Amino acid sequence: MGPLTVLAASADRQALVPMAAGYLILMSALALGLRLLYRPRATQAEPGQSPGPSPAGSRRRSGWAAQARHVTGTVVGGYLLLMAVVVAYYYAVARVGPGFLDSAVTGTALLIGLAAPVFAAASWLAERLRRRRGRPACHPPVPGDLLPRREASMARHPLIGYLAWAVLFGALFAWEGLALAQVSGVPSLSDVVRVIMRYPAGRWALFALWLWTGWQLFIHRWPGHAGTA
Amino acid sequence: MARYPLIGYLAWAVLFGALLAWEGLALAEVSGVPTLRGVFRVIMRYPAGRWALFALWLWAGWHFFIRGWHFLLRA
Repeated sequence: MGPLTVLAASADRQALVPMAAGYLILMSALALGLRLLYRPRATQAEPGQSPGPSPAGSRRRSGWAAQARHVTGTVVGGYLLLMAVVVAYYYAVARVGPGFLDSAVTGTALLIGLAAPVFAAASWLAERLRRRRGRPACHPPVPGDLLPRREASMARHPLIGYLAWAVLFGALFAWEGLALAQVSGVPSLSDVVRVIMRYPAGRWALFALWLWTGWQLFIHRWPGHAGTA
Repeated sequence: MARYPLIGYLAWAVLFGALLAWEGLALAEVSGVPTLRGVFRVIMRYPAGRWALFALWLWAGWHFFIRGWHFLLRA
């Protein structure tokens, strides 16, 4: 076994820590969201949001501005969170290589720069299609007005349904954990993706899937967006 | 590229198949089964949840498409 192989194996094992942390952070966010969802409606209030309605005219005027603020907040917050995790991983867990931090800062910024025009074009196209089908133009409401409509549109399923999703994702993370712990015969998700990306068509398909997921999650299906009700 | 027994890759296929099957039940409106979108909406109700999910999405893009110069162009 050469020194590079040993280094890669060591880095894989050290990746267990941020992977487990990522799962815990996601599950904590799910638990907090469920706590809010199952709280009696009279006491529900979004953190940092005023429950009072605003005039319809100002809602229409500020709808897109509100969505822009919402998306910008998500992008900046998520980027800074990822950078914090990457820097902590580099200095506290594993110094994986000299270009690691540079790649993290510039590579993720490049991806955001690539995704932004694609998301803008997809949103413009979705809006045009909606108008062509005769549906009213989509004016995203301001965040302060979202709560009652969001409560009405967000279905409350039995807790066991959400727990099943947590278990399924837990199984994915556990299998990845076994792979990172170098258990014999268990490929990591990166190994699986590498097999798919051996061919250009696979790479393009995966990149398109990644972009589509981001657009659906953070732009098109943002909580409270009129198209989600 | 490391070679693993086929069963290792099949296990991944089964896990993702289970996710898709559960989502299928939700889309078929089987009682008590929330969709994946519903779960993400619950997670994204707090800013911290939105940031965590965005960070995870961005990390996936960086890890799979940027690191190691696999980004789209290399054959």
